[in-house]
Amino acid sequence: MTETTIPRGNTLPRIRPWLGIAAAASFVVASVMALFWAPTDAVQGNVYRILYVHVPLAWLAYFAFVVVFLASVGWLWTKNPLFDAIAVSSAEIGVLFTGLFLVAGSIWAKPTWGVWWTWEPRLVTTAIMFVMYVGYLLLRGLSTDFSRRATRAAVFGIIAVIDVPIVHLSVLWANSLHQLPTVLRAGGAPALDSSMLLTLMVSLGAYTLIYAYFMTARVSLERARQVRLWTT
Amino acid sequence: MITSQRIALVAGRELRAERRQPDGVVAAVTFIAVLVLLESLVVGPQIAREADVAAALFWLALAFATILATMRSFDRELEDDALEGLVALPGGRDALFGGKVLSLGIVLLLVAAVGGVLSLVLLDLQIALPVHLVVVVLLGVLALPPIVVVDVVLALRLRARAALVPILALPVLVPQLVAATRGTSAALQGDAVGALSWAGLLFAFAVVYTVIGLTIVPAAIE
Amino acid sequence: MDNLIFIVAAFAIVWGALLAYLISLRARGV
Repeated sequence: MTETTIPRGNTLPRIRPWLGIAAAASFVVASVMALFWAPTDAVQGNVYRILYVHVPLAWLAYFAFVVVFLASVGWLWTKNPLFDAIAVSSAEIGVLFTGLFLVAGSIWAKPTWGVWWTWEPRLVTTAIMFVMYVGYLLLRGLSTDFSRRATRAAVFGIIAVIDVPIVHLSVLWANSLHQLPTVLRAGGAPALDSSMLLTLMVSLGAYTLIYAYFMTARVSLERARQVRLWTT
Repeated sequence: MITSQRIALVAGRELRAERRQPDGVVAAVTFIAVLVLLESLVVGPQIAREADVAAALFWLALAFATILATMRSFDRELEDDALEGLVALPGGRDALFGGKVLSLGIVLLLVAAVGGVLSLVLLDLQIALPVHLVVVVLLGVLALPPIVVVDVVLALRLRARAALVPILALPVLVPQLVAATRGTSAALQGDAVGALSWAGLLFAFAVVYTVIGLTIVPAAIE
Repeated sequence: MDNLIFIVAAFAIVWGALLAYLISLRARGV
């Protein structure tokens, strides 16, 4: 079996502090806009503000998952350890964002629909995606050999991501046969006016920067670990 | 020797081994029997015989039975250390995957038959469309082994694999479980169109899972 | 104010978790 050489080095060391500052600043701006600047919704009152956190987290959770897929393919194709580092980093951050997305969504749902959880297709798919992420990390956690671990994780990562759309479709079709509660049909997110849309865009940007910053930090950490643990 | 011949060879070897030492089949059959019994006790016979409930519990039991049987099948490899030899042959990995999937499919059909008959008898199930039911079960069984085989291969030399394989396999199998339970329920209740639609989906899932498995297995088996 | 507790809880949990993750990264040596 070919030797996998593990090069040293910090990931993007010069960009990272700036990325961090940009992330923090935009996060503060987005939060202020979400909590105070954006107008109160006519139908949902102030609770809808949670969506300014819930929606960007959702977006990034799925994005992180796609990154895991691409990095997994990259590892299987090139056996470059950088891809493995990217995969595990995106998976870890993805688990975090997915979990938070589900929690925030649940907290929003209670006052809005009266229930903590509904069996709505997107929510169910996301919950399943969360479990897949966790399975991915568990699989990694139990492996000891670097190269085998990376390969195992990559294989599962690819299967998981390909499966998510299929899961979504099957749950969608199953649900269409049942009566969805009338509460759901009344609507989900409020209609957006321009200031709401702006707040949402700013929030999306902020959370994307946070993801990017976390990624550079986590990948850097993983690379350092690769050097420490797998070079004699 | 072309791949399909090799797959048949591997499958034949698997089934012969299973016949000599049927602990995999026995475990799976016993498991499903216990679950059918438990159903009635836990939710009460009235609820257990409702089409949706009976279908759901049957397929969950079968999913776990698949995991049991597959893990047992690979345990044999580990015990005999036969894996390396087979994989070394050209096209060996595909043959291994195909052979395992085929033999497991046959074993699962047996398990499904036993579980089905037991459910019929113990729960006094009413079956409106028996032929449709058989089609759904056949296709549902077809869709179970591919993913489970890949997951068992991934977890093969890991410590907690008994716990890990269900965690890896069940979320990925959700489409199969949804389609199988809905299709079974439809066949039990007399919804021919529904049963056939879900059967069609099951076939599609079986194809997708097998293609994914065949594509990814060379990378997974070392 | 309506449902203040929900808004506060959601934001606090999200901010808290993000901060905790950041701290864990620092602790692990980034």
